[in-house]
Amino acid sequence: MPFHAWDVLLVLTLTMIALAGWSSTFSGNGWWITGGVAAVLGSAVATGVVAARGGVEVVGLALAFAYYFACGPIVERDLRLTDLSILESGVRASADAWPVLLGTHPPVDSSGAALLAPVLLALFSAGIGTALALRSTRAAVPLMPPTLVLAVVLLLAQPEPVSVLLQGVGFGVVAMMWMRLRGLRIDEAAHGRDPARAWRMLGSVALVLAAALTAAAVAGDPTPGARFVLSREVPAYDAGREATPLDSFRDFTEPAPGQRTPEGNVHERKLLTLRGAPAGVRVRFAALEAYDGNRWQAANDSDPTRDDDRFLRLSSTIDNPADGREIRVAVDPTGDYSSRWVPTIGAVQAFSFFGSAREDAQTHLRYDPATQTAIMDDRLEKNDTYTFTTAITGGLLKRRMTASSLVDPALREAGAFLDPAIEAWALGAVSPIDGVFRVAERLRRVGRYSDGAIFWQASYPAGQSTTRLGDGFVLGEPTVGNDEQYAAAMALMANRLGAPARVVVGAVLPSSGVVRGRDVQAWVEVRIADGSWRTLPTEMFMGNRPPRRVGVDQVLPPRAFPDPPATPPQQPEIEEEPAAEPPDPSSSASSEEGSGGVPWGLVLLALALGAPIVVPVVKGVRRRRRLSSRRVTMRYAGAWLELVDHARDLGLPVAPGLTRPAQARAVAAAPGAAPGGGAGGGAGGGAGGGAGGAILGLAHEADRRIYALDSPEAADAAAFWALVRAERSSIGVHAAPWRRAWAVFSPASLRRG
Amino acid sequence: MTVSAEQAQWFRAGFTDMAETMGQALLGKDHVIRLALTCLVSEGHLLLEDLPGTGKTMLARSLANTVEGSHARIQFTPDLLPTDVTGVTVYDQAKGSFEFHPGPIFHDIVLADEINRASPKTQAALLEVMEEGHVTVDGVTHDVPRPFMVIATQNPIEQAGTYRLPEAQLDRFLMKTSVGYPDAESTEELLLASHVRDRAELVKPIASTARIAEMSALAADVHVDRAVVRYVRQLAEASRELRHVRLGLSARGCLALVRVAKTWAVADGRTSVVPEDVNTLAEPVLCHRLLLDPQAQFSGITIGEVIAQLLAAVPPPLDRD
Repeated sequence: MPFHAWDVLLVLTLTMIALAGWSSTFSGNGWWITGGVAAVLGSAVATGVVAARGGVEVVGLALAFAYYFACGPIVERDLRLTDLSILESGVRASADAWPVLLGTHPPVDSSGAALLAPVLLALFSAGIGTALALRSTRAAVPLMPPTLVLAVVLLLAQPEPVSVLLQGVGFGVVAMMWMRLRGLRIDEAAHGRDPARAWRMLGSVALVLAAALTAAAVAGDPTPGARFVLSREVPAYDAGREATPLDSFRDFTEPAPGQRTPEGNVHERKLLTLRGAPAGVRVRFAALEAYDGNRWQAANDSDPTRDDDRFLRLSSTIDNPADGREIRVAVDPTGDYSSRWVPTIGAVQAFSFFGSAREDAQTHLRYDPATQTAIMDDRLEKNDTYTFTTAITGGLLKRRMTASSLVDPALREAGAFLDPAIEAWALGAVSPIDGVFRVAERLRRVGRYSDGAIFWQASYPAGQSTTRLGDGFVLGEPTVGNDEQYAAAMALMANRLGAPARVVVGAVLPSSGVVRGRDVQAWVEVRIADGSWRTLPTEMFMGNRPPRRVGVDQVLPPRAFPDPPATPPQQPEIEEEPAAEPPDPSSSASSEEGSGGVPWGLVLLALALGAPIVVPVVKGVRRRRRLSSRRVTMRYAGAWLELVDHARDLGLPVAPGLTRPAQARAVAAAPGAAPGGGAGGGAGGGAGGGAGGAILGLAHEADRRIYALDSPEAADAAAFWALVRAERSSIGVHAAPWRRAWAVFSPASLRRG
Repeated sequence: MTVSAEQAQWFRAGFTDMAETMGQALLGKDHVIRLALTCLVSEGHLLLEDLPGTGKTMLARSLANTVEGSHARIQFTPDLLPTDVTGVTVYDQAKGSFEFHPGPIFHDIVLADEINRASPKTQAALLEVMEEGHVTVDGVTHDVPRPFMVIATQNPIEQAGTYRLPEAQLDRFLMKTSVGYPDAESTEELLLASHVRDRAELVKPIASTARIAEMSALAADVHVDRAVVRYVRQLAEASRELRHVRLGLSARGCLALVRVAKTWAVADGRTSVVPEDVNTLAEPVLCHRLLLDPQAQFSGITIGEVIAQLLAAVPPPLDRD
């Protein structure tokens, strides 16, 4: 029996060495203990069956029974076999074990279905190995099961081996020594005891050790990722096919136009509540690393330096090395957060659902450590509260930093349509990052931020297609969009400049810890030479000014800005026009002389009663004449005069003989003209702040349209009138109420003709 | 040929880049920088007149550095000879022939520092090149390179040993402007970066001469409506009748105004000139072309006030023609 005891011991040793390849794949010691118990059980079953003169096939059958009865209690963590459903769940879990093992970021929790893999392999290796060792008369045959298990373990383990010394050299030494030992014993059984047995054993030990040391020295540290592992071949969750928060960005940022909130609009809705995270930290919803010409989307295998850059299952912990302050955050999503994307912060180290979350929520979670984003393969439900421990990583991009050279060629090529802007804007850049900053500054300066839904604005469509980002945004005039267009275009341009960049959608956490729709942003992250991703904050590349009100090129369809009506309701009757003419004092005098006396009292009474009517009527006639001028350019000029005349009626000093922009500046600079007055502007013609800037924008637009080579369209002029009407009401908003009331009857603008 | 919106945007982007680059050297002087660039792109010459230490030379050097062309600086002194500017023909004994040695004027951008210190003869030589674009020495004509721009500076307070530029020759300069003192913020920033000995060296070339030529050609194609042209004509006529003005705006001055207005418009991304462009550029284009009578000078009336009167006297057009 000592001979058999050595065989059993060495089979168990080899089995445990083979299983040790999973020590970086599983977390904790549970898998190791369970596997060890299974190995001992397998050996015991095999020894028993062989002692009863059973063959290897009987041992296999017995092991299958043992596994069948053991797997259910292991999965259910209940060793009492209360009913057959436990056995059923064990069988079902046996099928799930392998996908879980292959599709989960290491370390995998030592529980549930994943635990059946070491159990099954240990049972097979130890049981069949023991049976063969006890029954076979060949030296090497019992080595086959442990060697096979070693191969399976290495195939299913993570790319980085746990220990070349243990799994390679250790397993080889033990296997060869055992084989040699068995060979000698078999020879002695056939030919009698060898007198030089001890010397032969010593020689074999020396030879094996020499070979092992040589192998260890030659093998060295293998290159990570160079080894073939099955997990890399199994398709990861394809997050790229899922809609991203960027696709429906306006649901977050666009204020509801009226009292009624459109379906899906969550601008004012509470989406998440985070506890434990500091204010100002960036909450990540989705990181988008691929662009197909229509939209940015998430992608697997986007980082050539990592093996784990894929959306895989997440156990309670993850091997995700990161420098940064570690915090623990609890997240409570609301029903208004309807995305599959699971908001996280930084590099997650541990994650779990808790509270009223679904029991199987964790099995639906997929996480990509390379982009530090997570997604559910079904959806994140209202009660799916979760907590995670994370290291806050990243930081802001600085101009002096050096860009990583790992630009995705496809992304670089995708941004080629923006070359005209990139070449002009990044001219003189000394590095890709410098170019990124130049482009960002320019984009911020020339761009205007708008969701394009306010009634007086043009309709700026959503989308990230090459058409929208090219002619409709970066290369267009005006450059108007929201985070969707800004971030999408900026990331493309950065990649084109040689700085790897991606779009991230998320939110900067308010101090309240509550994230609402309006807090959601899209920013750009750029990869620098040390491999980390740095944030290019939104304020660096987003124009925060609204577009000029006169976007006549892109005005809403005519139904929004109808042509001037032939007889506007507010217009006076044309027959009343003569009444506007001022009385001629000389003729009055002569008539007085001729008639022998005029009832002056009646005349004064008529004037007193007529003045309040005459002036508005004359203004109405004037307005109508301007509105319906035969020349379209004159309609623009008339609209502008209408604005200036209103300012004069309000008592604002607008000197004659000024150009339109100069008049706009005079209006805006006048005290009480408009909130936030101040024309700003200059040669660039940029709108200044508040209403003053809007008036200046109207002046520039009128000039631009009037003196352009092409004659403007009547619909454009109508749109301009609509804008002027809207702006007219904002002039003098700070004036005294009596002043505004008097403006209706004031003849000031009539005096200037 | 007309300018498309895309071309205008391209122009604006390039122009703004150059202005920003120059802005690294000259803090808080965006308007003057844009004026200088407008002058360059309009293929004109610039006269800078200001007090010492305000950055005249800095502006000129940074403009020269922005363009990838050759540039030279001529320090004008009373003993400077015309041949020191234009070049000289010398006899080569070995070859037995006369050989022309070009002077510093044969560069793309020439900085004529303190031009009013040179003798009228030397000034005349320079101004002749500016007008005609070539130099004639010993009966042989030599063309200067294109683009060719002279940026001249002069100091208004030092009168001793200076020779005032004749009014007729001042007309050769497309614009005259001054840099002025920096604002408070720019001054502080300047002082904080006092370790930078030469801010003009911060400016690196970002535009080739070919690009400048392309921009010039584009600016020339900007549309000017007849109403705007009429406005310029009315300004010119009014300038000749203004009180205190002895010499009004010439036809060459009108041309200059339209030319720079075109560049100014397209630099703003527009495809056509508007009256505001004319008004904005009236002072730098007219200030050295209008001549005040002695009474006005004695009364302390400045040319700026006269131009403001002129602009107020002629209302801009309301509509296109």
